[in-house]
Amino acid sequence: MQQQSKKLDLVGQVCPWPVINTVKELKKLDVGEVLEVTVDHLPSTINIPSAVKKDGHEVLSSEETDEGVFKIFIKNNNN
Amino acid sequence: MSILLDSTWLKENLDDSHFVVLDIRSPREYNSAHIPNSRLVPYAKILSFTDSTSYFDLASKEQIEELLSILGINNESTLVICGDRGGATASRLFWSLAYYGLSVQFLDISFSKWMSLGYPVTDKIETIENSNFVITQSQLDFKVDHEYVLSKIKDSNSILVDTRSPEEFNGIVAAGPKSGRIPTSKNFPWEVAVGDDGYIFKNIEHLNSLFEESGITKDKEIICYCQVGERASHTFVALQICGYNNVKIYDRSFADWSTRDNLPIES
Repeated sequence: MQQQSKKLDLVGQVCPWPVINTVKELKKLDVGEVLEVTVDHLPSTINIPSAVKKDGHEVLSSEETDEGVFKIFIKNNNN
Repeated sequence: MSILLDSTWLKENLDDSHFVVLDIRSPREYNSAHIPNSRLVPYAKILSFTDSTSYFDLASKEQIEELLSILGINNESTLVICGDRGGATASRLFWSLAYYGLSVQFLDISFSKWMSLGYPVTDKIETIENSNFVITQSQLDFKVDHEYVLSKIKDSNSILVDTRSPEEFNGIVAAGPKSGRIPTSKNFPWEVAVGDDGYIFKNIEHLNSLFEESGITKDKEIICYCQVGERASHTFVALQICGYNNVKIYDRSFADWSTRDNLPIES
């Protein structure tokens, strides 16, 4: 089971907002905390990991939890 | 054939089996309500990608044939794209099918607008009999790669159009690992072409003046890109509506460009 410290529901959002809002939210977390991001915009499942990794964050998992709905767990490694 | 299909006409002709509505919204949205007899297109089915790539490719001809066969489409059908959220995802579907030479139209309004007008919707999922869809048309010249774009950066006969937000264009924010833009690009944020009050596109006169004001002229080759080729598709369709006949998409877009070594980035 994933450690969960904060959930971010971005269902309904399209490019570039899922990435921008995820990056913004990660800045509010302490190092080591995990952000659970929910999206239903497929390109975001590639864009979000790609964007947060460059900031040193760790993508713990990314999976489709419902038809067309994805959850991405990101550990904040960089504040 | 006009690219846009008048929603008032479709509302009165839903029993015309020649027209098949393809709905690219999320499965949850589709299951909740959709246009009667429309078919859900799972977004992943029109893309080709792996976990290790930072971009999406267009689905192969075989993938598209399989998708349309599962959806029970026959070769005489006219496909009508229905979307929402501004229409960028729907535009990607339009471009993907148009690339393979298929006859496609775009519903002029979003599904939300269709609902708000009280037009017919249902939550009933029809049983679909599979067909055997075969693409017989030639692929159209609608898609380019990074090498082609690189060769056009300094070509005065081509215009690179970055359809992302001004903040992404100017390198203030990034929707990927790197910020910035492809050198010599012009910024035309895709939302500028989105129509008011639920219309997917502004009217043709308005679109034409917007493109002309941005220096995007019909005598040039136009190459659109964004982050992963979705927003660029909306601008592609808008340009097609206006009669631009030499428009292409760099579909891997900045997600690809920015992760390749030695390609120039401006910010």
